[in-house]
Amino acid sequence: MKTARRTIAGLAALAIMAMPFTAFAAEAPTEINQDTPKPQQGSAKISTYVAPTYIVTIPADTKVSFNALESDFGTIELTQARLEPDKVVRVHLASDYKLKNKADESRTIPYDIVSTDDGGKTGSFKKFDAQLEFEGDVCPLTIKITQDDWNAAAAGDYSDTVTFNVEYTDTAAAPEPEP
Amino acid sequence: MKKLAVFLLCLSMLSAAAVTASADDEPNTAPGEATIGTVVPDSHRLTVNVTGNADVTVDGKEGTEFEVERLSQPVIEIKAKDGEKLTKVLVNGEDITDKLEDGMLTLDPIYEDMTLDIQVETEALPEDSSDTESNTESTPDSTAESTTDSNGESASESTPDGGSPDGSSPSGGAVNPVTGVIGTISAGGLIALGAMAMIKRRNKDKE
Repeated sequence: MKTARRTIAGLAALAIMAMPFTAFAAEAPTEINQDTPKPQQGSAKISTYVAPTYIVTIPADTKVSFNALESDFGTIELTQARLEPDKVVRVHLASDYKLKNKADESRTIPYDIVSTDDGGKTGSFKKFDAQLEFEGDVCPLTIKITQDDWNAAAAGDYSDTVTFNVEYTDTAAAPEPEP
Repeated sequence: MKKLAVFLLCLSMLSAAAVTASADDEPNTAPGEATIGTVVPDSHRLTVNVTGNADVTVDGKEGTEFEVERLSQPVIEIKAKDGEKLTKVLVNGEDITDKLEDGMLTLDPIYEDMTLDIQVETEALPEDSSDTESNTESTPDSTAESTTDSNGESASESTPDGGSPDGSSPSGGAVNPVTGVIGTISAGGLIALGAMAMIKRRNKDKE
């Protein structure tokens, strides 16, 4: 009995020793008294950290009408954005840009996804990514298919999946959009 | 004492299970997807409007509206009405008269609903170049004689102008269009006919 008690006590002591505890570096208190040389002043640093947050909304599934040269593909929108000053949210569209026939995937309809900025400049997402910096930034998307490609398309159901990859990155790393 | 030791042991185990968390320095990527879809129809409507004196068929079928397979190349046939011939054919304003082969035209692959406005100009065919030809030549002027023998059978002979008729009376005389010679029956033929008539009469008497 005594042995058991000693054993338990010993284990408890070992476990307590293994407990991590936080050590704080002690900061020297600032004291100003009659002996402090002039100017009698002190300072204390106040700091905090606000973590970046953002929500990126991407387009939903879209049906393109037969023979439509341009179709609305929704928008990429940045909301609840709180980004660091030198950071942007970059959205890359990954796709082979071909609608594939469900019955025969060798039959395809090529397409492009473009966006037009406020200045009227249109760029293809084959060549550049969307860059969103501020709360409410919106990038409208349009699906484009040429008439020649429609005319050559065999009958059937076609589809393709576009993957939107979102990245929080430095402004300097983001490439300039190309027309 | 025992209880105290057990309590301290449990407390220490909970504390020792603290998990260290650290900030991840890798960039955050959050993939999302969207699907783009479309349907390409397997047939299209072909509407044919015809003005002019002609009949138009599409792949051999009559009508004004046709359902054609997508990317197929229908054949339209333009036929002038009887007694007329085509002189000019316009399709959607384009003169395709020279492109017609035996009155037929193969369209380009159909990739959308379309309308063909066909304007046909025709002219009447001249009378002597009628499509129907007579297989017989016109008989030359001739006189026909008909004789009746004793048996009540008659035979006729026709003699062409400038021809030399036989002295005998022919039966079933006709003009040979190839040679122009009048067929006549010789005297021997007449005798044979007479003999046959007599045999016939005898058989009748026996009955």
